[in-house]
Amino acid sequence: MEREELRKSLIKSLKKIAPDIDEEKIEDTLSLQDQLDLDSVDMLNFIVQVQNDLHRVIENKDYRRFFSLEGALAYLLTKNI
Amino acid sequence: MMEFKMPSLGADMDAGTLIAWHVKPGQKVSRGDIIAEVETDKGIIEVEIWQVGSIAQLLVEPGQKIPVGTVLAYVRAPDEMQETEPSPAKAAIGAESSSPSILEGAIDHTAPQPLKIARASPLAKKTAEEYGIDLNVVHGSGPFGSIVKADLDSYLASKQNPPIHEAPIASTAPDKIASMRQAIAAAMSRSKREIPHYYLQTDVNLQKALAWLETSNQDRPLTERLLPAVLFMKAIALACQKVPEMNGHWIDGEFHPSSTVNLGVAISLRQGGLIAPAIHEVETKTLVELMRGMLDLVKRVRSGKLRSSEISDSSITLSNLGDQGVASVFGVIYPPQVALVGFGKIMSRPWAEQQWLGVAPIVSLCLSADHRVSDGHRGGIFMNHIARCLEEPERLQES
Repeated sequence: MEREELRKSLIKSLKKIAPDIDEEKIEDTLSLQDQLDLDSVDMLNFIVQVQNDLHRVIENKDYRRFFSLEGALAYLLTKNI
Repeated sequence: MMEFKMPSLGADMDAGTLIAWHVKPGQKVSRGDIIAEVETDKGIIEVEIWQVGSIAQLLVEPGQKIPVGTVLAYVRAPDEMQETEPSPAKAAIGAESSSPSILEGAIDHTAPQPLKIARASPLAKKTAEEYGIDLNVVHGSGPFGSIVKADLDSYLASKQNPPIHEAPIASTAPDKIASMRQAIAAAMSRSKREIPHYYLQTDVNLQKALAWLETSNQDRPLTERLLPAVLFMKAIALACQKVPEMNGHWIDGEFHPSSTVNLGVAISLRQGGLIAPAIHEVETKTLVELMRGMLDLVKRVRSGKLRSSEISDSSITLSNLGDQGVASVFGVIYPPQVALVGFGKIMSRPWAEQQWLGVAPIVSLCLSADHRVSDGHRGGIFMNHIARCLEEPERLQES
């Protein structure tokens, strides 16, 4: 998948967890938890949602890569997802 | 004939709005089935029925605000059912030649099936687990109403276009938030008015617990990742077994201990407001089960789909504000409960233990307790037990 398409998919997954977020305002490099007032459970639900939406297994050890959009995109692109 | 009444879904609820029925006249119901959706100050709650039988009559139309205790429907008990079954049984009685065994066969067939905990095929259960689907809300088309994989596929497809009455409360109108605020205000005021609170605080070194979690998580799939919060939950449940005065309800001047630990988990709502639905029987659950329960609960709180049994029967509450960055939480007890345990952020702090001095991940926990039921001494024993469990995390895995 291309970066833009992936980003859109990630935002879609995010919205399933927190339907009220303003996607225009999300900064890729900043922590998602801080920007969007998500807690650790929301983050885990988000990453599991991404796993479901992209139909790819994300391993526990890679969990922390998803704390920002930048990190998530870098990870997913190297994994060729 | 049994009456199904508008339940009380909270200490200060006096009426609820019926949003939708999940059953029709003639439909068989079993314990734990969701019978209706009711809107309260806490959002839309899925109300479960605890009677077994079939729906005889629905008395109230959706959209009406109904006081607690009003009869909403009549439910026919299983042994009453043969009166309403059409001709086959009656015709059999009329016919001379019918043997008793035919009649019996007819009656057995119409009797409700005993409730099985997970009425789903192994493939369906596995799929449900993978996708985080709650089997309780899926309609089963398999034998005896059990859920097969195709049902999960239809369920997932239907979620793309949810019917109107399932609209998430993320888009709740300001007046709903205001009324939830009022309900919280009423409960918290009552708590401070009636409950003589005392507070005990202690710091716990989570070095061992976090290392243990990290190792444990390496071998788990993402969907079974354990967060520190489940260690806190299990530790509280085990401590409640040691000090039962922390787990139960104060009703009419008396403490009623709870036979099981139904742990209310304080969850904040994105649009404002707070709710603390229960995870039941925490003392019997494994860490993986607790994790699953907590994730599911948070998801449903966020989408406004809680069940009546979850919001009305917590026996003690956990308030975990670690993610918000606060060091300690001195919480307010939710009446009629008698205790609340608050956890703050896990922070790296200088720490000394016997001759060792270094930096460790420390969490501050605070007990708010009802002085009518317990004294500081017992509170201290309770806190100590939580601390010991968190310092020796293997204790939490047992059972």
